[in-house]
Amino acid sequence: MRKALALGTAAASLGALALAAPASAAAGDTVATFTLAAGSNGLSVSVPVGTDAAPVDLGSAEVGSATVSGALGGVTVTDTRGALVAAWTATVSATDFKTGGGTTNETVAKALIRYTSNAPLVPATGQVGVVTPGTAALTMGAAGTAATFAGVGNNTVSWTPTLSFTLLPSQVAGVYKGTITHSVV
Amino acid sequence: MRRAARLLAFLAALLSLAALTVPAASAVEGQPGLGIRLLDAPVDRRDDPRAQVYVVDHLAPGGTITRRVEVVNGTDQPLTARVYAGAAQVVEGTFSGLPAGAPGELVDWTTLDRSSVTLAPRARAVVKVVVAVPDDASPGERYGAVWAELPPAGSGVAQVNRVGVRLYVSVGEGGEPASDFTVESLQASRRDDGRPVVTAQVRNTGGRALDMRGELRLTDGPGGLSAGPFPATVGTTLGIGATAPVEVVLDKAIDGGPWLATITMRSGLLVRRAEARITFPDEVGVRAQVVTAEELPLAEDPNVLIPVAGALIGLIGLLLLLLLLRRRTPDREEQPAQ
Repeated sequence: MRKALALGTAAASLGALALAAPASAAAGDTVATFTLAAGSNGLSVSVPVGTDAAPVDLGSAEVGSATVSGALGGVTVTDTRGALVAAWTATVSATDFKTGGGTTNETVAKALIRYTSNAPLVPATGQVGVVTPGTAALTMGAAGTAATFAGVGNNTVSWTPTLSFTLLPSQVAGVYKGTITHSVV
Repeated sequence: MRRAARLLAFLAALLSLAALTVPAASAVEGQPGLGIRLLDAPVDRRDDPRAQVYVVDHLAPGGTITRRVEVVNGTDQPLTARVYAGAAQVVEGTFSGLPAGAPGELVDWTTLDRSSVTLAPRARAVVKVVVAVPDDASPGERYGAVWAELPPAGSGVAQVNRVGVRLYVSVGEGGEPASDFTVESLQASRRDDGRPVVTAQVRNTGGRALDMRGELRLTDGPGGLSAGPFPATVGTTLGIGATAPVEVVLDKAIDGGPWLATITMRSGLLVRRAEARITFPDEVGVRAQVVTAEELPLAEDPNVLIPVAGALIGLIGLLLLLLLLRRRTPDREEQPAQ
């Protein structure tokens, strides 16, 4: 009887002490993984509109005007990860816009490009979370935040940004080309 | 026979519970596009919500981890996406990816098993990601992302859209650096649109970046009213040593107070609570004084309760065992004397 009691107490205390060991991540290689539920599309971004045959036209301006602006193709981010921590950040960056030989007067430097996301302030019905649009008229000298979402569960946010280019007094006429990159992570 | 039947019933109940936990199909109808998602998570981070959407891990120098990501074509057209690992940074409360080609240690350590993925409409493809940390890597957390990038569309203003999975990889010998944060202060204010806001200053005091979420409760209000919980506007990624504000925007109908505000902030499995007495200003566009928040004891934190309880039970068990063993020896000594 005493032996059984002693063994039982020993087993119980060992088990309890095992619980006391703090949960810590295994150092070194993490070999054991499990597969997450299949079926969703994860975090997705829409395919931009505009092809070589029908490019997105931001408008044109007379030589000598100060700015030209126009709307870019819409961007839709759909998050179907169903996560408890549903958060994503969409950042936008730009390259210089050049025409012809790309000399100073044939370039609109990215620092002279301003991006306004026009993202909605209120999430769509049924979504739990907050959309925070980036600062309006964001200078594209460095990458900036277009929009962020923070909430719970699946969500989708769409916005149609506008770009505005500040032109040099000596800006040369031509079709200017450059790239705008939206990164959603 | 009865035992077997009971065991079977128990197993059947477990399986049906497991089926319930499989997430339901998304009810959100969005414009389809190029999607990416993480397929694997480490077993020892099964309960960590961050590890189920981001690659979160801790490795010793010389270690390797492998994960799979899935790239999905949600459109009706075939598409080709470029996949690659890129650098990222955590600045001013935001996790942001750097442009392709930007240097970063994690980029050098990460290899993908393919560089582009061609997908038929509605098709999926798996990409294997291997992160191999060199032997001489210095300790610390590195940030990056695995990107799936659409080719530039349009010839005038070319638009490139890319979507990625975050990488939070911590390097160091031994166990992972502890994560911790404190809620330093609370401030009540009223926005220009008249809605009351509670702003909490949260400081990351641990060794890893945190993705914050949380909620606010208001109690002990006018006439004994309580309100909440209200979700906090987060999605803030708090870098190591950084401080960021977390806002909880409330409805205009909430009374000015005074209230006892209790804010519960979480990152992954980490939970911290703090409270302070606040009163919302009557005038719009006004911020009240910043009040130092008092950190509440972690009595509700299972990560503290279970180990403490376990340790206490273990100690009591050992003491009992010692007492039992002690009592035996005097008995044996008495018998031969008799």
